[in-house]
Amino acid sequence: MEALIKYVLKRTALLVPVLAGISVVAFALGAMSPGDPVDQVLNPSGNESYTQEEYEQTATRMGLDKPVYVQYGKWLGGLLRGDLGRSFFTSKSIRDQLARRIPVSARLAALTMALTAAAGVGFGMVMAVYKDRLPDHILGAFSTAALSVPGFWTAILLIWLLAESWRVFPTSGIDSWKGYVLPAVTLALPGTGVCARLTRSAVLDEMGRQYVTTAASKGLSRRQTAARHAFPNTLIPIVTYLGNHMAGILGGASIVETVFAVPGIGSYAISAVQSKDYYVVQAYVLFSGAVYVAANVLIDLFYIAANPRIRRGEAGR
Amino acid sequence: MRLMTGKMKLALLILSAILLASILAPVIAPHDPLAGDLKRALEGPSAEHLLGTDNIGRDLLSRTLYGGRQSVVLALAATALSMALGFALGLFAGYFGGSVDIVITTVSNIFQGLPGLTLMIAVAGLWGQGVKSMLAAIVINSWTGFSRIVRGEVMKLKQENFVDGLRTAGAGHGRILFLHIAPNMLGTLCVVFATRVAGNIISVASMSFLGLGLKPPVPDWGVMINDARQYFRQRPLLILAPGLCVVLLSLSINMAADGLRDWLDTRRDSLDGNA
Repeated sequence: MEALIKYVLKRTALLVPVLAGISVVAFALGAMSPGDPVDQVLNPSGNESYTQEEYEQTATRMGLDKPVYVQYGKWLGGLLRGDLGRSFFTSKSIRDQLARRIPVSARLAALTMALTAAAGVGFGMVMAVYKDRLPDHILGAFSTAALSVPGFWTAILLIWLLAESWRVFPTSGIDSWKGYVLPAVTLALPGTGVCARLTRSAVLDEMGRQYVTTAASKGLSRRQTAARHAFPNTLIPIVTYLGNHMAGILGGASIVETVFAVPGIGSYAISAVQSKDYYVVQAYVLFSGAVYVAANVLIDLFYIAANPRIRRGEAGR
Repeated sequence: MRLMTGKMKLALLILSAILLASILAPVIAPHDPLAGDLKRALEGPSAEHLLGTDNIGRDLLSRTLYGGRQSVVLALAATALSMALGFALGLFAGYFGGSVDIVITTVSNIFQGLPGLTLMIAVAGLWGQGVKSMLAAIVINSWTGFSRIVRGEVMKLKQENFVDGLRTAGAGHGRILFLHIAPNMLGTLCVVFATRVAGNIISVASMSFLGLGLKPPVPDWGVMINDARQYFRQRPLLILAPGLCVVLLSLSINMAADGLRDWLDTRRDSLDGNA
């Protein structure tokens, strides 16, 4: 037990500098951008005039008259108190916006994940069982193709065919659960390809091992050995991939959210980028980074649950 | 197993067809990709305009032929830069280990934790639209993919007997790293490079599609799809032609990478005596 606690603490301690680094990058992303936020606030349309005095007052109010490291310190201090700042333009609290949008993105990510895991693992198992035969070739081609299609293009085609022509799903928005289906399918496509290939090669690796030969020699079919004996041992790479992928979707669904007009955090980030509202972008990058770190903590906990050797403190990693 | 399987041949055929068409675009394009004729906007395919025209009467075929020239070069250059950076850092981290490794791995974890495509969009959008921002955006996002793999390979390779032998024979770090360890990773690097190029072609198209990448009226696949969002219901070819080019290009690169990976795997197995 002591070894276990030590292991968890050690792994978590390694993530603190990562989170700190992400906060620096997130802040720098805005601070290094060439635009002048004071000018943008005072002169949103581009043809309003203001005095030097007004400029300085606004800069002071926004805290931009201080050196960069002081600004970063204030920003970080605000973060620790749960204050993410306000949008330049709408003056809306970024925290409230995120609080409203995160559940939407989380639902989308969860549905995407379910599709990716089910189709990816399923296809991968079929490919492993029928190695070098027709199902393997067809699903293999599908996996490669799924990786090669840009999400925005899939999104436009799906809207056109399934929402506008056949009216099976709404074209945009999330008024009902149906609104999540097309975005989730679009997002699940590349991940399914990766997951299927990963599952296939992991299962095939395990199939070459002695315990599988033993199981086969006891009269189990190839399908049974693959599903019952080889598959459980392939969970670690698959869960690692899916965990990271989930974190990526929660923060990276921006284009698909934008095309489908899903009011999640991704579309929020894109509109902020387009209007150069960089406080919003900073908050968003930091949030995605935090999700990534959290996902990695969960993946680590899964390793412990899945591998008794780590639990007993035998494995170094 | 041969390298030139049927799949590999097909991949290289599609890839070279698209690349050749892009390189030769100034010679083979029937029209000026920028010259529009508003009276002939949104026409269907005809003898004069084989794929029809777009909303301001520009020839779709010519624009499609020109459409990959900038984005493919950009994706290649950005991936090569990412590889150089990731390769060097991964090499040092894996070979020297210890505190060098801890620092490099932590930095790589930080960049790994940033939100991929959205970060690219943020960099490209906030730092001003243009090629330099896109280049920076892609490198920031791609180098960790190389450094992690290189680090892992080096850690495996440096335990091989031949490295001990070299060290006993008095070879310096630089010699061992660049003349003996690095060449052993060439195959793996090619596979990662190809996969990344395919991904980055899609990323460049995505940025241009959002209006944060290449600027209209540049004939570019991503820009063309964005331009056609209002009009493609009337003329589907306006999004199908440029979209299929992106798909076929990245698909053929991915297929070639697959073929190369399979070939390397079987070769490695037979060297280990498992095949």
